[in-house]
Amino acid sequence: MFIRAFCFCVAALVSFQTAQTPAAHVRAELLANVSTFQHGKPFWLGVRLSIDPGWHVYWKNPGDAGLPTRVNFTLPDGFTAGPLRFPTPRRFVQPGNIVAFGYEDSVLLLTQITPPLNLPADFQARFQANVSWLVCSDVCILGKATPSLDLASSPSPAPANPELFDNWIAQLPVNWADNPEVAAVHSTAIPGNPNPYSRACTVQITWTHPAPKFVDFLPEALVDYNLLKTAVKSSQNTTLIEFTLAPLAGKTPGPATLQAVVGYLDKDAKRRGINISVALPAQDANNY
Amino acid sequence: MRKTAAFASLLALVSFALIARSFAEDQKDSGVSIGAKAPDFTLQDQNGKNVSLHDYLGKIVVLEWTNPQCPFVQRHYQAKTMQTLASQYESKNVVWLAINSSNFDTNEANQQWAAQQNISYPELNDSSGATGKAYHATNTPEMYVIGIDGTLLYQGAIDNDPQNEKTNDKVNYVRQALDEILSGKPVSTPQTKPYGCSVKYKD
Repeated sequence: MFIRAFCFCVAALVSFQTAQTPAAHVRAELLANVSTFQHGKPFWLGVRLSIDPGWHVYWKNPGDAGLPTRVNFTLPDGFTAGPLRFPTPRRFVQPGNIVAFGYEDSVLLLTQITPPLNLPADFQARFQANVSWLVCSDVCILGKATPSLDLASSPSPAPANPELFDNWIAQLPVNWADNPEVAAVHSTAIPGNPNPYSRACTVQITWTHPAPKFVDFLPEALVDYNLLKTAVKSSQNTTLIEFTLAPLAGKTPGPATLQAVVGYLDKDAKRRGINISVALPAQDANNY
Repeated sequence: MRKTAAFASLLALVSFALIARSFAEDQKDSGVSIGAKAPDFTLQDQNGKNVSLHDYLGKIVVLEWTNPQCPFVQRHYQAKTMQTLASQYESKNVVWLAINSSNFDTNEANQQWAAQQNISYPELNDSSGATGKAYHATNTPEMYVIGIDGTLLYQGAIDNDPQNEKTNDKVNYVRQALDEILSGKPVSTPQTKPYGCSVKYKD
């Protein structure tokens, strides 16, 4: 009798905590940086993914394999959501030299919500996130969840979860010019030889202090190119990132811009990221 | 002034040459090239019988990197994507070989999977990962199509639908390549980005 009651409690606890398939290895919650919101005043919603040790989920570009984590928000009428913002991910090199970009332990995927100005007082809003992911260790498992959050409006500000949101907002990549740790970024993309559509690229970052020890190059996906092996070298105040973009066979890509994040650990070992872009001109080797 | 400009352009040339040189080494890491000879291999099938690529010269060969534990592979087997293609093209001089480069792969596991999925084609055990690495296979599933002369004609995804959400605009790249090869046309999409689980290599 006791055992049965105990089992029931455990089962109830598990289903309450996960609200999704058992052994999913990921738990998803929807959180806000306010406990009540103000009409017309933007606030942050965040999907917190808590990931079992040894498992990882993927960034918007998963890398050589994997699947991007996706979030779509369902909002009350008149509310708008900004773009989904991914904190700076980690670069993993898996056996076979397979490169992945993603998150271990936990991540907060963020979006800014703007409520309408005209709402009844004490408006009750329900927000829902439709989240899907691939989580991998030795094996991979597809998962999804639809966590929701109810928030009421109020006339005065009511912050919530300040440490959690501050921590993850600080890990969103910023434009390098807005980062006081970066003095300059210079990038080149030189048409290759023998394939004139390949691009030998360099990104040179000049820091305002000695270069960080851990620097990751995290490119967004490019439709027509494969990214070949990347080298990151730092000396004194400079980090040099070298990589080759090879067009997929049969492709003759036109001009494009590679968007990328350069991730690093700052002096307090906090993960930070800067946005950079590399212009890929359409010229070939002959008219270079 | 002129001298400075000349020096600057010389410097640019030299640094270009240096950069081009340092990247040349990376080209090796791009994997097998479309139009190049596909690397030969000899691997055991689910019954312990040796199967070599060179046995099939004169036939079109489809290689399917597989891992029964991967949800993308499971999804395509539930939809019978691979089984249907393999049986539809069997009479058209096309051979289908599935290769499992997972470090935990065994002939017994391949036998079980083949029986469970009612597969007649070989499930090859590459648990050492040597063949997967020779082809630079990174995903399961990942597909390669090899022509009758042993050259690689297609590498990449099975289709254009990683998220399994397309209906009318779904393209099966392997079917497209096989149809083009069989009607004597060049393969219009010889390379795509594969999607799926990472290949679970040993090292």
